[in-house]
Amino acid sequence: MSQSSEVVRIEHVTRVFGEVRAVDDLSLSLSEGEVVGFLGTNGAGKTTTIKMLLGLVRPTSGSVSVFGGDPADPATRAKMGYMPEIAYYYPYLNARELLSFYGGLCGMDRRTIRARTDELLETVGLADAAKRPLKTYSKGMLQRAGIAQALLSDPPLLVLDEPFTGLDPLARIHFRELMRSLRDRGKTIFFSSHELGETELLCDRVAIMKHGRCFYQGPVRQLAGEGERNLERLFLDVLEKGAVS
Amino acid sequence: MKTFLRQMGALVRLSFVELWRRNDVFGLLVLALALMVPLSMASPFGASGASRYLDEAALLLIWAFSLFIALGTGSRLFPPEFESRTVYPLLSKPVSRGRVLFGKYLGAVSASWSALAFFYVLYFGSSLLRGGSASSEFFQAVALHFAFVALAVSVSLLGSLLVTPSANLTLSSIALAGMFFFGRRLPEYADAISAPLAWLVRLVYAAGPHAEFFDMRQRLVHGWGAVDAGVFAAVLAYAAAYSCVCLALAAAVLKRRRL
Amino acid sequence: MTTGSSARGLAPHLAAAALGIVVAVSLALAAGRFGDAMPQVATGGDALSVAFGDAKAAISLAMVRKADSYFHGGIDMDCGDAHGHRQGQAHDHEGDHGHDDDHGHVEGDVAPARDGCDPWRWINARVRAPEVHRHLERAEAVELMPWFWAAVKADPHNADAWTTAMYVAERMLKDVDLARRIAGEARAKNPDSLEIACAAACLEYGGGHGDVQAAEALFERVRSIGKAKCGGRLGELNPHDAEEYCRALDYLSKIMADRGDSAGVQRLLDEARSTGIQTPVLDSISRRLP
Repeated sequence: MSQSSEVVRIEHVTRVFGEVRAVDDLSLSLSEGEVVGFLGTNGAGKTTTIKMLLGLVRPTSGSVSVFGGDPADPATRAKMGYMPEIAYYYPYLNARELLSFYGGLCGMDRRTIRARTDELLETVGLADAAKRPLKTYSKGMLQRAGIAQALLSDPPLLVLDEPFTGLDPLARIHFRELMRSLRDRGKTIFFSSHELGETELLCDRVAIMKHGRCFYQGPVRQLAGEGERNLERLFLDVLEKGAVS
Repeated sequence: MKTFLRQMGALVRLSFVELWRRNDVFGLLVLALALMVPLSMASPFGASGASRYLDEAALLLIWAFSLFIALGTGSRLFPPEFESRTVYPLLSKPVSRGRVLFGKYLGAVSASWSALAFFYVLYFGSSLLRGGSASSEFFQAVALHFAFVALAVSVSLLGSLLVTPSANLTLSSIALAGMFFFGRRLPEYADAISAPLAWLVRLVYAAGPHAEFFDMRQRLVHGWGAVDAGVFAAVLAYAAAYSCVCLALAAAVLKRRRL
Repeated sequence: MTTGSSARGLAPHLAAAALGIVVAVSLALAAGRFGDAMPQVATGGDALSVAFGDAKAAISLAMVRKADSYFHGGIDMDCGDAHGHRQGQAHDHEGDHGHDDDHGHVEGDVAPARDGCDPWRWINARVRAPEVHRHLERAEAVELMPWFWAAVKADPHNADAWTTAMYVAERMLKDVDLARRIAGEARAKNPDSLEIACAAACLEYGGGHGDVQAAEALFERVRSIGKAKCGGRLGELNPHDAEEYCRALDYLSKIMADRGDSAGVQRLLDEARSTGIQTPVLDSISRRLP
């Protein structure tokens, strides 16, 4: 794998909060066009890792680089789209205004914002509800609004935190197809999830975290080829035994 | 530059939309009408022709409302972002924390100014109907009031990053309203009390936000005329400097804030 | 089915509303029945009395101070804002009812600096001062009336507010009918006030050009109120009431002197002396004796 196709490099990153080592000596890299799943139980360090990837939190030690740059630099973040796990977006805005707001923050001009907004609202199935205030949205609708704002500036790297939460089965299928189409267009996708089935269907590789440490990184397909050792089995093995080869 | 302007525009629009869709301003307007209409129809002892008391009451209401709007808008800039977790998608965008802070501040100030302008237009209209006219002290008073609102928003914004929303509103209101009514008397009070408390009062007098500098109500009501241009400029400069200090402190706090 | 569901959903709210109404009505009935047993309830008082209690007196005083500041062109005399006094400006002190000319005249355009370190001295000295010490012109005196009105609404027993309003109406607005209306209302709400009765009587007297007969009756009314207050022992009147009592006697002595009733004037002088206070009124009455 050449250095030039490397999108994300996380090298021996540790993050300590007081007495707690939220992330412990994590090393991880993402290549262009990869879809990487980030798994682990609650409190495993997934969200902290994502925050460091976005430049919201500084590592205590180690380094994080995205497209060769520091994620704390706004210019680097311009190449990322982030969807949070839960966000109760501004209740007085509607979906169209929400995307217009985020588009403005990305420095997009009005014409581009309008075109992308129309397209994305259609894609995520919010076109009919676009003018309703966000405070009237269900959890699933807010999640879809979140997906739309992450995709707004058409970034090469997508960082998604629990993207399947709150989506009904049909919405999940649509979302999975959307992710596949983005991957086919060369986007790099990094997402955390508790949904092993969806992760197995989408990802090229997975990383499994436990107590701040990454105990497994590897391709999903290889796992499926080892007979009974599917992703669920692998996940349980990591939780029980720790490192798995 | 274009990116900066687009980012500021987006942040300003956010505060604007929120203020006017919350209907706080319309609620205050109804309250103002409920108070002012009966007052204007009152005939004290059956004598007609008095109008300065109406000006005084209207201006006091405008000041009270402006403080309510400024502190309310300023105090809601960041806490809801953290509570609803929208701070993460916000700061994940290619915009620095400093720009977010400044853009939100501009938004809160613009929104508060728009509400203030609304009330002053109504006041000016009613004044014209009662035979008043535009004067230099009126425009000066409005300009200083706008400057005060910018200062009040900066105080409230800083408070919103340091304490809980309710504590922020309480402390900011006490600080600003207290200085508004009693600020210029603090040195006299300090002279009359004993040492440790006197120093505290002097410290408050030195460092507190001097809202009373911006209060031109008596000039308008009694026709005292405009203040000297130098004093006017000095008070505006005070507002700008104080706001800058508050914003700088807020930026430092936000930079260190654990997300 | 849907209707039934809706009704079931509303039932708790209706029950809560009904309970609230029952509680409110019960409290109202209880207050009416047992109100007199609760010492803190101001029976017979208006809404302001119930809401504010003793604070209404403070509010009333504040309203009178506000009227005073309006009279001085917006300058709050208590705050010592009256720093400027231009030389040669003629003041119309006709309107200075009870007004001491001790404004602290300071020359110059800037308020005097305080001793000690004041980092805001430069701004403070210029934002408010120099306010020209001036009094309201006659026609502008109507601007004082709302504040006196508010003062007596807050505290109907604020005699100073009533009498000053009468004065402003009579002397500054030159509206004697207005002054009479105020006097009538003041007396109705303060039937036992010597100060108000005396002021009303002075109004009727009008410097000798008014209804002297009506004024005399009112001055006699002041005498009877005063005697009733002290049970006929004039030496036990409080100093303020004694001043007003003697003032009434002064006017009565003038009326009697105009009729040539010297014996009446002497009786009034003796009566004034029996109050025990030292007042220029005694000399004034004495001068009317032959």
